Amino acid sequence: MTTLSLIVDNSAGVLTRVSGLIARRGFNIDSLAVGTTQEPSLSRITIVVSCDEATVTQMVDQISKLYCVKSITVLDKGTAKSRELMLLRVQADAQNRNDIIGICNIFEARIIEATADSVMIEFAGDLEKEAAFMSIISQHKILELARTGVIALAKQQYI
Amino acid sequence: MKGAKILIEALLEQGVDTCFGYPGGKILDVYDQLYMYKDKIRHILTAHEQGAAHAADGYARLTGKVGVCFATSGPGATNLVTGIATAYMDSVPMVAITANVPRNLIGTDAFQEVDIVGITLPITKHNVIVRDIDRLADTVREAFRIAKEGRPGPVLIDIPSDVLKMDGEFKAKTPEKPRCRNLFSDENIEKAAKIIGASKRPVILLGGGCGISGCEKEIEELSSALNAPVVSTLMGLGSYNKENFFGLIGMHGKRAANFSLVKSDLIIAVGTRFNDRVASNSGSYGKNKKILHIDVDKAEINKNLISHYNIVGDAKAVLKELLPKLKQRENTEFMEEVRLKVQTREKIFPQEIMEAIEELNPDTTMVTDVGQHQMWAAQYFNFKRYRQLLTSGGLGTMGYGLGAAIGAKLADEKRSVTLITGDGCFGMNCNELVTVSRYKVPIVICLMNNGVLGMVRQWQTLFYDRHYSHTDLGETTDYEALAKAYGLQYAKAENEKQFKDAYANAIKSSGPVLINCIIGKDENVAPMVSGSGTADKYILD
Repeated sequence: MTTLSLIVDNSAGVLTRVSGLIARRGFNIDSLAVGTTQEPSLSRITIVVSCDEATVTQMVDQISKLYCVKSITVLDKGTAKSRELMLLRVQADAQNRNDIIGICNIFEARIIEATADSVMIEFAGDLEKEAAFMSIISQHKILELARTGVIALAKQQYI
Repeated sequence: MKGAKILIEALLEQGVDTCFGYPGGKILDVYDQLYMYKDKIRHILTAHEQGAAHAADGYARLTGKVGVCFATSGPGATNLVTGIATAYMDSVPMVAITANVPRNLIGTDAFQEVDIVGITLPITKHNVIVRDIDRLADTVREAFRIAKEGRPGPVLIDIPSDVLKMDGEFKAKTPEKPRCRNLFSDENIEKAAKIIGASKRPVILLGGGCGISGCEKEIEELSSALNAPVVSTLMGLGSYNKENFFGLIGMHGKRAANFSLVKSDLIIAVGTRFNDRVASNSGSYGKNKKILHIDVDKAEINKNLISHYNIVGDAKAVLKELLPKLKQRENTEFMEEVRLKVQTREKIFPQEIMEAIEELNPDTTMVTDVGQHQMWAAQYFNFKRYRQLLTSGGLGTMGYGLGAAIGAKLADEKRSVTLITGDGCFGMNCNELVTVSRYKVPIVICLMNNGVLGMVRQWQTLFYDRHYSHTDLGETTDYEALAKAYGLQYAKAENEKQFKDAYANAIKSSGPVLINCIIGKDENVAPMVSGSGTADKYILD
């Protein structure tokens, strides 16, 4: 799993340029997240890919050719901290609510809404933690799920 | 100053003297300024926007300067698309300028509205919609810089019509020099020199990047230092032509040229991207040999073919560093082996045509369309300078030729232009005879008329059991009448003698000429390499 962190112009159409390039060159991506940075004129696009090194190099080289892309950094687990935010609605009644609360406690997930027959959970973590959480929480019935896509920043010594 | 005037001022600042285009509703303000500035900037009205884009391309390929074309919103803009894609695939510097509906109507499906920036995203090096009058002049400046720098390419500027009418300021600036990112180090050069030094049978492969970078002299020095055979892709033809040049490689490459690649132990590839018409089977291409890849575009490294070593940088800059590190070689064994593979074949009429043109008019610029005639021109004409062959190599655009020939002729009126076209291609865009006639553009059109879509038919012969599905064009066009309608001189040639007479007359003429050359429909392009094997496995000999 490789993460590409792009600093791009924060202007109309930039996401189209990047995602269009990825689509037409046939690169497969796992997730893509975009948002502005501390500098309002710049946005960060974080792309997670699972492909071989040669393909990553080719992606970086092609993306670097876009004039809206100011910089591109290749990150991985060793060099960066990454997080994804996930919201889930899980079926929960008197029978299983406590079990769900227990799982959330282990993973430091929060219940942000509760009704008679469901709860909404806010989960944040890297992909590994997310996979572990999902493997357990999916023992309950997941009614809805939304993910932000992974975001990442390089660790201090790799900046 | 109005936006439209700022645009023209910015073009003049970039040294634009000629542009091609077609007016329309939303671009009226620009055309009004072209009227005012007609003494400073020449606008050529084509028959169709596609012709304008190809003409700008032909102008750019001949001069090395940025070609400029205009189109109005909607259909005007979409008509440019094939021309822009053609330029993109062959790395031609071009700036296409379109007008769009006013900003308040964008996104409303207004009359003649189209998202041309969205449409041309995949076929431009960069494109931009100018929503702010204060950004207009700088956008034009950036467009020209981007079109020229590194690996050249087309840039599209879309301007809403209300921005063209707005008032803004124009402050003249000196045009920026194009930047070139040379990403190589001394170590890279040392390593490359070592790889070359260790090779026994090196071959030098030239692509279109050689001519763009202007490294003809360095290639000559490289070839004489290594005493190595030199071969070329379609786009590289003309960059080198001394006696150790063995010509075109690839699907319809010359036997000796393809042989030299297969039998070499090192391919020194300069400014080429190993397109599938060159390396039809990328798996077998690099077998038993090393590939040293020199290219200005890092994304071309290991894209189509894995190279063993690469240098990212402008070819001229790289070779200048590399040459002093190389030892003079004397071994000519490999060269002799390659020389023995030079084939003498029985002459076919298309070959006699190319040779006659070369004999009578060796310095003419050859513009081609796409198909059999294009390959015959590439195989049988001895190109002596880069920019002598203008052809759509990457996109393979049928209908490219006439527009490009017009652009090339108008770019340098002292230089002769010969268009080699086929009846299929000519039928696609012969509307540009309107332009030839309007401006009396003195080009010589050699129509290779075989009554069929020759190259497609050749594939039907070889791979589709002679099912000639829709490749027979019939002989319904009266080319003499067509020539007459547009005021072209006309001649028909059915053999070498007739062609020579016709061509000799044509180059004496001060106006445009159409020579209708009658070619047998079963004339194939040979040799032809199999798509699956190595470059010395032939389907057609």
